Amino acid sequence: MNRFTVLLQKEWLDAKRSYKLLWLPVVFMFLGILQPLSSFYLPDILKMAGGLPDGMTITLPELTASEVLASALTDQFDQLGLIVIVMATMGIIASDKNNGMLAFILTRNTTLVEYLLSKLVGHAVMIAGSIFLGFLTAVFYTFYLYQAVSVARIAAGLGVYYIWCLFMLTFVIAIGALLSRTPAIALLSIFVLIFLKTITLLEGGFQILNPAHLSNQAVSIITSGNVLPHFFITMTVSVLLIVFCLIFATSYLSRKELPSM
Amino acid sequence: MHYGYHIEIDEIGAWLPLLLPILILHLILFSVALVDLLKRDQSTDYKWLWGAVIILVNIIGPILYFVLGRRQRSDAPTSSKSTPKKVRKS
Amino acid sequence: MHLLQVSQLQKKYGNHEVVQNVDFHINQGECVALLGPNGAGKTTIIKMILDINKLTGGKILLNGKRHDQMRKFIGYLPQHPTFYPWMTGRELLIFMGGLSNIERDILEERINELLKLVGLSEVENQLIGTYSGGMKQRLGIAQALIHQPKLLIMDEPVSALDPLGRRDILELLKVIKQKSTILFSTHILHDAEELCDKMLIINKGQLLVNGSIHQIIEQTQKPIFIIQAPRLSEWTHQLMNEDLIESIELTGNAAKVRVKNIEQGRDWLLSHILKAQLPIQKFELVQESLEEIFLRMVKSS
Ligand SMILES: Nc1ncnc2c1ncn2[C@@H]1O[C@H](COP(=O)(O)OP(=O)(O)O)[C@@H](O)[C@H]1O
Ligand SMILES: [Mg+2]
Repeated sequence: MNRFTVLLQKEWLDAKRSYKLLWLPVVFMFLGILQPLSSFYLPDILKMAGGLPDGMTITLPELTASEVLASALTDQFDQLGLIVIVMATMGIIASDKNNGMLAFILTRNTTLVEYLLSKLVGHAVMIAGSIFLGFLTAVFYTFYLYQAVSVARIAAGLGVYYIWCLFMLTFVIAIGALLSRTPAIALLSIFVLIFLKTITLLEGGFQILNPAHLSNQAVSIITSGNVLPHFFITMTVSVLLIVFCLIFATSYLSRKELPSM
Repeated sequence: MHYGYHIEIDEIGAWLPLLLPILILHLILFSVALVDLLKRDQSTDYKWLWGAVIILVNIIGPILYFVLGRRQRSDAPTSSKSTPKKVRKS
Repeated sequence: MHLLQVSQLQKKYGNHEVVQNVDFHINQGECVALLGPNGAGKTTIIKMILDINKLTGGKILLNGKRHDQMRKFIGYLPQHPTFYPWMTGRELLIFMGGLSNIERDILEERINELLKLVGLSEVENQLIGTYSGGMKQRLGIAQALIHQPKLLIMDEPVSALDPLGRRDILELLKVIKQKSTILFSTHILHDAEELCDKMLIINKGQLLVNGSIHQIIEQTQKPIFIIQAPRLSEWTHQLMNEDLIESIELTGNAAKVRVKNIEQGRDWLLSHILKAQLPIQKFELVQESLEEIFLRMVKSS
């Protein structure tokens, strides 16, 4: 059997035994439910809670189904979802590195590249499954409460959004290679990723170089069926950044004397 | 729901199919976390603490337990050794 | 050609020379003990052979080839094997065997044999997190043998165990020794003596002695005078600064005296005993034991 498969099977077993395989999709399913349900029932809930104080009125915009789906991505997946992805991946390199397992595994004829790829692929699949299931529940609720949206647009939007998720994953892997303490890895990753996400609110040409902008692209695809300008540049830049993160992690770890048992 | 007394019977009927999946997901997370916590060899204090978190904090509680509460076992070395440092001696 | 050839091996951490110009070699089929007190540099040497730590000088050849290309032919048991606590013993062996590209059906067979050899067959499906220290050590030995390595390297395989566990592992290693080439480190002379025919004694990063146990005893053994008498300490005090005397060790009312020249030393000691009118109960010339050689070397280096 090939070594990469062996490493991948180990990742899978780890995910099962640590229940990551359970909670990661479940969290995204919650997030998927949350957006359509709260958008739909918010007026009712406000009314039931006794209404607004006298003299205060708010007008809740009438949302379309595709807008609800889009905001599931930007308001749920990109905030709590982002934090959850970082929490699920913050320890994947650091724990093996710190307890000497990585140095030990490398005394067999594995290579760092195989090792990192197994981490990447294992978690990329888990994240793909999670955002797929999460969005699927969002779609069900939206279809039920609002109306149907073109499935092709949803699929295309989600595909683009997934590249942004892959960037998050490889970024956390790179930070995990660089730092040792998981809280530091989590904080730095969340800080940078949220920062990238926040500056997408600004106008400016630099957006096309920002992988977080892919999430805006996804929204545009879902709501209008069209991509924003410079879509392919952003896409290319993101893929290059993903590759760069992996190369950085590999070269940094191979040059360093790893902690060992 | 805190708003229970405002809701009429037919409204509950409309909410139920929407809330049921949430309930089921929560139940799965909740029971898996609790069973795992009970099976682990940890001090009673530890179990009470995390038990409270799992039971009292809806949805987030079990997840916090999976991410943080179980880390000691999967991260820490199994032999009686010092904590992970950048460099380990002998 | 030697199986393992280490020449002018050197390791520095900053200015601290942890390993200094160490030379040795191991032939096929030998069992070699790397013996030295804690902090001598044993683990560092082993990790350099495995290319976990980088060399700052020297060369390591395995079967005549550079060591970093050859580490897949080494079976390695770390000093503190930790492994994945969430795996079962059998799963770990499948994992480690898979990383060494062993075919699945051959692997299954070999795992069964090894589990039997190390006596873990009954707990193979329990999580490693529940294993005791001795069980982990056995599992560590099994994973080190899974790819039938040319060289088995073990870092203090018995040091962390209780007397019973240590006995078990030593017996196990005696069986393994018949088929494998072994390099193992220890700080306990007795273990080295029991298991191996060759020894490398190191201290403070320097190789002090290298050879078979017989050779070491023959070449480095020195005679010692044992003098037993009451109130020895005052008398031995006066001897401290004498040129002829190499060292004096006082335990209770017996003194172990090493001298530079046996004949002169004996006459000198006897005349001094007479002069001091020391009521001796014993005056004897004995040969150093291996342990005394080891201790002398470690102390004087
Ligand atoms: N990463 C390191 N940085 C600095 N000094 C180290 C490092 N690793 C080991 N040493 C030093 O090297 C010496 C030898 O250590 P080691 O090889 O572990 O000894 P042994 O295994 O014989 O007990 C010790 O003095 C130790 O402090
Ligand atoms: Mg050591």
